This record gives sequence, structure tokens and C-alpha cells, in this order.
Amino acid sequence: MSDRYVVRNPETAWRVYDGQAVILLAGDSTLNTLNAVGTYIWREADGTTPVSAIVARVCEEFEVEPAQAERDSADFIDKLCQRGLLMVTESPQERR
Amino acid sequence: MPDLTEWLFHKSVALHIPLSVHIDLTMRCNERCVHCYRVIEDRPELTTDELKGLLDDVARAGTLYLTFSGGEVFLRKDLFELVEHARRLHFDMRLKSNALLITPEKAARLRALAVRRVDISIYSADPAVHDWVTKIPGSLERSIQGAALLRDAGVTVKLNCPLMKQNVGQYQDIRALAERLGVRCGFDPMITARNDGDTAPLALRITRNELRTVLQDPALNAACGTPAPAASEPDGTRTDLDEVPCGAGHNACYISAYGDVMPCVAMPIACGNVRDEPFAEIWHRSPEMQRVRAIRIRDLHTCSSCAASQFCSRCPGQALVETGDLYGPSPANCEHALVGAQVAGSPAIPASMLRRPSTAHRSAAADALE
Repeated sequence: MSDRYVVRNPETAWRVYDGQAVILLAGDSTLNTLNAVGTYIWREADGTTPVSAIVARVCEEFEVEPAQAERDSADFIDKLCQRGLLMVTESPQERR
Repeated sequence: MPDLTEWLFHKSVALHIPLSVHIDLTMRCNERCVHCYRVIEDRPELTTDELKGLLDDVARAGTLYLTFSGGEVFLRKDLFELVEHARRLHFDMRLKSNALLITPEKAARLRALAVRRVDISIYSADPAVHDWVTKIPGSLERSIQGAALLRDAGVTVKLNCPLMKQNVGQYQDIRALAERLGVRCGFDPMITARNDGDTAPLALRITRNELRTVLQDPALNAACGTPAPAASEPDGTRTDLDEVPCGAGHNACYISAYGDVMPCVAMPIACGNVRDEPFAEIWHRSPEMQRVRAIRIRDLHTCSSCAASQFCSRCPGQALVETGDLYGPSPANCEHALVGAQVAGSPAIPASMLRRPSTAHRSAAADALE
């Protein structure tokens, strides 16, 4: 997982309210909300930061054990990929 | 599981976030609809740069849902530049259009930009009636063609139809048209006065009997016969007196093509102009916005004690436009509540129909907004 990159689906619309991300996907008016850790990962998912670096920052920000953070982050990323909100790539995206 | 839409509504109201913003990009239009409430003013419309700056400000204020309307939005040569800018700011985008100017290329571009929905105004499935409303021969055929192009490009389309005397008998045909096109449709029985107070469009409103027919159609009124969740005790006493009457000025905002900021598209109270001061300043500190934001249901001198409130979707802007009283009932909403109650088999009668609104209250309310 350390060599992977996550990027927000460009078709999403989103804002962060009171530390909680609220996300919509075009063509679907279903609201998705994330907790503080999820919101942190969402914001970091710029397609240029490796997942391993995001997990390391989660450990620092939220005082979580690395193994736990890696497991939880992987589950979270999988779930958001299934919902079409995040995409995983093997190489970094170009900054826009 | 909590209702996230309700959670977001309450969150945005509590935090004073303009969750939904409606911006009219232009007042120019290529149709001349008989019921249109917009008024063209002799002032310059916001430029591309002004609109982009406004979008930056509105995004910073926390807006998620953004609607571009008009006038006809496709008459703006910079429409796609503005939509692109808005999508870079992660807004959820909706456009309102008559679709006359849609081409396959434009439809594909809207899809690529992930515009969530385009609402298209359709007044009848009969060209003679639709084109009579728009005063543009051939407009129905072109609007339907535009809707089909958008649908084919993968853009979600909704046909919107305001019900008038001239088309109320044909709403089932519009529903059938939407089904044939594979798109959604919605009907609105409320025709409003023009923003300059001209009441001429009100003559187009449907009658009480026509409204009853519409409300009795379960396909149009899914809750027919089932009262809305009770906001009142069995004796009619309202239990929502500390709630806000609607989102206007709380989490909804309207910005005209000339830069005027108002609590809602339906509430013509100018709170400031983005050419004179930043959006956030107007949103948070305008005295007019704050007065609207302070209103609670208990402040509504007639509606707060109305036994028919569960059948009413009172619009404060409608009340203001119809009577000049933001705190009073809207006669048109009362009419709808009465018919809604009758259709549901309830004996409830709107309070405004039981006694005359207090003149003293009306004056105080009018004074408060001056």
C-alpha cells in the first residue's frame, strides 16, 4: 500500500463543516459525511502524496499506532473507492 | 440512521453557512414567458471577473449547492468559463435553462464538468400551448431536443413546469413526455407576482378546484391524504415555534445578475451589493439579513397559531411580495393549505381565513424592514 496514491474523484462536490467533510458525487444527490480522521485523509488525497505518507501524518495528528492507522486507512480508502469518491493510482498525478 | 440532509440543514443554519446559493448570471432571455417574474434593470450585469471573485467568496463562506439561473444562462458567452471555475472550487452545480441553445458539444462539456443537473422549463407537451407561454414559435421542439441531447450526454435532466390556467389540464401529458424522454419532471402550482410588484402574472394562477384536482393526483402528490409529520399538537397548537420559518437568510442566499444579495430568490429584500462590499460582509453583517435571520415561527403573527400549518409550505418571500408583510400569511399559501387539508379530509382551516391579520402587527413588521 505504501507505493499507492489516492485522489479525490474530480466529479465530487465537497465542503468541510466543523471538521467533517460532506461529499456528493455528480449524478447522485446522496450525501456522504466523514469523521475527523476520514476528513483528514480526504483532504490529503491530492493524488501526489503517497498513502504511506498520509498514514504517517494520521499517526501524528491523531496519536494512533502505525499498524492500526494503516489498517483503518486501508479500510477507509477501500470503502470510499467502492462508493466512487476516491480513486487509487500506482503513480502520482501531475499537480494542477 | 440519521437523515444527513436534515443534519446538514440544521448544521448550516446553526453555523450561518450559506449552504445553497442561487446566482442569476443574466436577466437576458431568448423567451418571453407570460408568467416570468424577473425584471430587467438598467444596470450593468456582473462581469466574468466579478463573478469569478464572487464564486471564490461564496466557496470560502462554505456554499456547497450552487445554482446558475437567469434569464437564460446560455446567453452568457462566459458560461463554461464560470462553470469550470465553480467546479474547480468543488461546488455541486445545477443549471436552470430553457435548453434552446444546447448543442451536442455543450451537452458533452456539461457532462465532463460534472454538472449534477440541468432543470429545463417546459410548459406543455402541446407546442401551441408551450409556444404561447414562451412567445417563441418552435420553442417546445427545441427545448425537447436540448433535453434529449443532455440526457444522451449523461447529464441528469429535470423538466420543471409551473402550473397555470392555460396548462393545468395537460400536466399528465408533460409527465408522459418526461417518461418518454427518460427524465424527471416536477410541477409547481405557484405563480408569483413580478419582482417589481406587478401582479399581472397572478391572473394566470389556477383555481381552487384545479388545485384540488392536482393535489388529489397521487402521482403528483405522494403524501395525498397523509398529513405531513405533525408540527402541532392534536388541538392544532404548533410545537415548532422556535424553529426558523425556512432557510432564506439562514442557509440559503440569492445573488442577482446585478450583484444584489438577497436572502432568497423568492424574497426581494436587497441586503447589499457585492460590487460595494464582500459577500461575507453582507451575509454576516447586513442589518436586513440579520433581521430576516432573527425571525422564528413564533414571530409570525397569524401562522404561528394556524391549525392548518401541517398542510402549508409557507413561503415568507411570497407573503412579502403578496402583502408587504414578511411576518404574515401568504394568501396563496393559505389557499393551498386549505385545499391540502380538504384533500386529506382534515377540517383544519388556515388562521388567516378565520380572522383578519392585525394591522398593528403588519405595520410593525413593515417598519422593522425599513
